[in-house]
This record gives sequence, structure tokens and C-alpha cells, in this order.
Amino acid sequence: MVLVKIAAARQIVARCCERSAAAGVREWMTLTHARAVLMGTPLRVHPYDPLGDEAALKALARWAVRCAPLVAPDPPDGLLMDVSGCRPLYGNEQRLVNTFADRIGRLGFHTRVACASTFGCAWAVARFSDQERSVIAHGQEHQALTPLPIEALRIDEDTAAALLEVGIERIGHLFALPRRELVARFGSHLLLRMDQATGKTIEVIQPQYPVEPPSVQRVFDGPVTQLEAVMRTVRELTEDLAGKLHRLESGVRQLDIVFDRLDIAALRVLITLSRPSRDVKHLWSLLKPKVETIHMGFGIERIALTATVVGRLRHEQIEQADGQWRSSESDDDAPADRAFGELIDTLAQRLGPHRTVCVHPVESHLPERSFREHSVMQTQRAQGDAKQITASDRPSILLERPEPIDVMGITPEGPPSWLRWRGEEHRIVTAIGPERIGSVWWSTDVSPTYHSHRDYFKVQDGAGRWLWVYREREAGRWFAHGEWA
Amino acid sequence: MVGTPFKMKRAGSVTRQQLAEMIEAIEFRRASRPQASVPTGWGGTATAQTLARGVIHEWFGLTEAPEHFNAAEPRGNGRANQWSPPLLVLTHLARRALETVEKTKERWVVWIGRRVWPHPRVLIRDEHGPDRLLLQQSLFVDPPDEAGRLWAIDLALRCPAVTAVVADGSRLRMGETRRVQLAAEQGCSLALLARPPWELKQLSAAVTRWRVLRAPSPDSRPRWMIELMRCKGVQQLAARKAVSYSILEWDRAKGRVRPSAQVVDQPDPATASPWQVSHGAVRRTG
Repeated sequence: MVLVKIAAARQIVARCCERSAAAGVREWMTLTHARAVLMGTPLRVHPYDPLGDEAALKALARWAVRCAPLVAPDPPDGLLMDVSGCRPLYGNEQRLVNTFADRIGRLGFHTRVACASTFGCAWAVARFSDQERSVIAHGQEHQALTPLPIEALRIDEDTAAALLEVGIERIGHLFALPRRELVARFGSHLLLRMDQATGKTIEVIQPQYPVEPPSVQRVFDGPVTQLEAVMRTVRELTEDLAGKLHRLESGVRQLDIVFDRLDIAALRVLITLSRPSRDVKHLWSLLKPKVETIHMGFGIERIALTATVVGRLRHEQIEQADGQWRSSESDDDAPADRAFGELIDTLAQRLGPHRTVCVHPVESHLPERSFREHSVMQTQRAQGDAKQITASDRPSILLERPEPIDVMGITPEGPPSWLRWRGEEHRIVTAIGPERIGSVWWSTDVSPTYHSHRDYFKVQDGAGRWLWVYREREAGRWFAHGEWA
Repeated sequence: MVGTPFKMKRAGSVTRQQLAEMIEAIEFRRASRPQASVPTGWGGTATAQTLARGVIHEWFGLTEAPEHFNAAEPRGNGRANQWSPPLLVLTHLARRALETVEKTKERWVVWIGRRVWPHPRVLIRDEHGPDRLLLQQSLFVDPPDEAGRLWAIDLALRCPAVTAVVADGSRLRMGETRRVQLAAEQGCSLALLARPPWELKQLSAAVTRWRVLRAPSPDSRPRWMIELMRCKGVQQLAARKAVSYSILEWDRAKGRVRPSAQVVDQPDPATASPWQVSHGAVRRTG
């Protein structure tokens, strides 16, 4: 598998897997070159997404907080973890390294882990050591770094090239040289990296701190079985949560409500909103139908509301009217965008997100696959809009499935002069076409109907009804596919 | 704070329609209400030039020529579901409604009922490169049943960010259309209901009712005759017992339905027997 990026209208290999690297594929190779090197071996090609990689690395850093108190992402492919004080939990450093490597390996990642008293030394050993899991004891940094190449010091390419020009290939060679001359020839950054690796200088990382989502809860004195009490509590908790969100200048996108029930499993209700909101009235209108129908069992002991996904929401301006301060965005004059967000939420909540959709064009020449529905609750579309849209005429009604028709025509491959569709006969007076639409010959995961060429005709019958009909070239069958209505 | 919706520069420079809109805005405190009517761009009779916002307009599905159509007779034998809503006409009106709202405001078109979802390609205009505004500002709703459909129509019409609602209005009873009318009055959107042709004689609270008839076309542009069956508050049609038609055609490049060029440019309207032509409107004389 390789990841490719576009550079100067060429597909360049940005990353490659171990198997392809072993076969000779290298980064900055063109994709054509890589295919030639692999000599026909099937190759999976995916676009290189550095922003996605960075987001995934941050997510992994948040996950790794369970192993160490301070974790910082080290782009493009590393994590720096401060494990100070974690040793008593695992017994020794080797067990800590093994535990972490095993746990992250279960997520599907191949890792190289090193533990040392400095970040620089651990970084170098993890990447350039022969072993995948290493532990460098305190005081052994100098010895561990000596055989490693100079790239292990995290220096820039120019400095590394300058060092290689004068024959300095290993870190040990640098240790043998006078420090004063190194600064004069290669700058102070090289010395800083050496000192960071050996522990003579402190290195600071920027860890990811987990952010607790806004949450409110209420614990009852005993199990509550009255629906009115539960509903009132949820309403009050919603107001409390809205107050918290107001202080955080944010709104909720996803709300998680947990009802802890006596002797049976907790009940969880999830509410998703299209846009961030902290409007109690709107949130309650979404929550109320859900709360009304919950199964309380033997009673509810605790209710907790958590805004698992939040979005930024600006503060509201307040103004003075009739001697009282109030929000300028009253219910009667709510902003239109907020009103539309509430409309979407209400529709999606009752009808389901798959029944409240938007449509965007996708890259396909097939009429029935050239547009795709996506739920309005999605924050981002799975794929961007297709830039190119067919300029050909398309009917206003496209049948979900083409319907077979009986036709008569003057010539075998020409347009029909008579057709019967849905039991009605139509005498054709105008026919425009054919517009040939090819098959999806390159894909095997589509319906067999897409594996034939189609010749489309736009035909008009004597009454002025315009239909879109086509003939399958291979089978010679005719279908009606749409209508201009 | 309710702002002044209209600024009068000079006394006497306000038309009667603007004055009526001013009074309505003051009465109903609709400071942010957009233009009260949507120009259709069809010319012809005065009732066909604009469609009012805040009221229901019913559009009856496509049928053949009027002499072959009997409204009392349900179409098809056991195939009552097979009718075609006039989607291109409705698309044109939705686009006009969208264009009459300020671009800075949130504006959406809601299509309720899968039957009235047009193929998305007709929502894209090709006049000066692809114009996807209508597609991007369209929300498609597919209610599972009639109760859900009525509820969705009601909800969408009350939303101030919705500039037009195009809905499947089949099997709506009189009381339900009253509910829709009340919702439309509260909002400020253009309410367009598509109904099957055999429901023409059913009672309804709609302000205007239009019938769309297919018309043969000599070129590649689909063509229709639209007939205003009812317009509340207009007595002339009933008094004269005249039947008024407009012949329209689909202009794909501009993404709009316009008066047929052949009818408009015809040199001698009197020759179009039995139809008498006047500014794109055709009136039957025989």
C-alpha cells in the first residue's frame, strides 16, 4: 500500500508500507515508477492526507494519556511521553515499555518504543536502534547514542549534509570533537540537540491535556418512579448545562443523557444537533419526546447530562428595554440560521437523519449515481462536490429503477416510433438522441445493470409528454428512465 | 426592536401594493419579512405575474389536453399513485423565491415528500457556468406517512429561514389545508403544494389553484399550458366565465420556465384559432 500526493501534475509516493519498501519503492518516486518496481504486484493506492494524519496523531495522544500523565504528539509519526513517577505502577521501565507497546499494537499500529531519561535520547534510540523496544538506563545515554547516525539528533537536513561532507557520520564522532568548534562551524542548534539528548539541557514538551466535556448530574435520595419528577429534573439539568455552555461560549452538538436505574442497566439517550445550540427551549423540545417514553424500571437513581460534542457559539448581545436587560435575540426575532438549525434538528429527531437530507453531486457519469444524499446532521461531507457536472439534458423525474417498455421502431438501433409504458401506448412524434452512456467496466461491486452500454433518447409523444428512454446495447432491451414534468 | 420596513423618500411615490405591504408589516410586526410576493416572470394575466408569500398555492399534476381530461374521474384503473407533479414549474418558482430574498440572509427551499423531489440536475443552472445555489440551499425531507408529511409542512412553513416550501399535497383534506394555510400565514415563505389532477374538485383553503396541462412542443423544450382555476379575491374570472391559459416552456440553460417564445412572437394572434393570444396568455374564444 502506498499513499500518494499530487505534485506538478504527477502522483508522487508520499508514504509506503514495509512490503512495498522492501520491494524497492521509495518516497518521492512517481506512482508509475513504483508500479514498475513492483512488477505487477497488486498495489493499493490511497491519497496522502497530512491533516488527517495530524488529527489522528492527536487523537492517539489523547488515548495514550491512560499510560502516562503527559503525552505530546510529535508529528509526523511519534509520541513523546513523560513517564516520570509511573515506574511503581509497572515495576520497572521494561515492563512499562512492553505494556504500552502491546496495548497500542492491539489498535493496529506497529510501534518502536524506547524509554530513556531524556526525550532526545529516547527519540534517537526508538528510530535508529536495532531493537524495537529499548530501555536506556540513567547515565547510559552517551553510550547509547554513540553508534547512532547523526540524523538521530533531530537536526535539519542542511546541517546533516554539512556534517556528512566532513566525514562525521555517527554521533560518537561529534562527541569526540571540541564543542567550541562545533558551534563555530555548524551553529548552536546542533549543540542544543546534543545537550538535550545527553541530558545537559532540559527539554520541554507541549502535552495534550484532556478536556472534560461539560456535564451536569443529579443523584436522587432514592429510586424515583414518577415521570413528572424525572422530566422536571431533566429540564432543570438542561438549564444548568446551558448555563455552563454559556460560560464556555459554546453550544452542544451531541448530548448524552444517562439514566442510572435500580437493579437494571443504565439507559442512555443520545441527541444529535445539526448546529451548536444552548437554547433551553430547543433542547427541551428535542429531549421531551425521548424522556416521555423511557423505561424507568424499578426507579431512577441518577440522571447525568453530558455535552459530549460541543461547538463554539458566540455570546449574545444584551440590550436594555423598558428598564430591563434582555437578550437582543428574543424568541420572536430569532436569527434565521438558528431557526433553520432548530428546524433541521426537529425534523431529523422525529423522522430520522436519513429522511432529512441534502444532495451533492459526485463524480459519476451514470445518471442515477451522479448525485448522493447525505444527512444534514453530518458536519462535513464524506467527499467534496464534484467539480464537473454533465452538461447534457436530464429529466426532472428520474425513476429509481428503469422500467421495461415495449417499443416499435423503424430501424433496429434508431429511436422508437411507438412505445408502451405502464399499460399506456404512446405514439412518438419527436426523438432526440442517442446519448450513449458507457458501462462501469472497471468496477465489480456494482449491479449488473451498470455493465452494459445505454443509448438514451429523449422522446415526445403526441400529447406533449417527454420521456427519457434507453436501449441496452448488449441485450437490446428498452427501458423508461425518466420524464420531464 | 421593530425596524421600519420601508423608507418612503417622497410622499406620493409609493404604489398601492407597497402601501398594502407597509400596512401589513405594521400590523403583523413583520419587520424582516422579505418581499411579500414572488414574481413569476411569466407576464400575461396579473394573477400570473406574482405569487403571494404566506398563502397556499396548489399546483395540480400533469394531464393531457383539457378536452381529454375529466377531473371527476380518477386517473388510471387502480393506478391512482401514478401522477406526475409539475416539478419544472415548481423548481422555477422555488428559484424565483430564492432570488427575491437578500443574499445576506439565511434562505432555504424545503422539498417535502419524495414525489416532489426533482432530479438534482435540474436544480443546477447552466447560464453562466454551473450555478448550484438552489441545490445547495435545498433541504429534502421524506416523511414516512401522511401525518408526518403534514407535520413537516407545518413546521417548515413556520421557519423564518425557509423561503419556499414545495410539498406533496395529495390526500390533504379541507381541515388539513386550513392548518397549512395558518402555518403559511405565520411564516413568510412561498407555499407550493403539488396535488394529483383528480383532486381538483376537493375543497381546499388554498388561495390559488393551478392546473398544468401538457402541450405538444415543436422543438426540444417541454411545454405546458397552465390554467388558473381559482384565485381568492379575484372575481373577474368567475364573472366572465372565461378560461385563461398561459403557454410556458422549460429553458434548461437558464433553469427557468418562461412563456413560450412561439406564442409571444406570433405575428398575428388572431390566427391561433381557437385560442386567442395576448402577451403570452391564451384565451379560448370558441
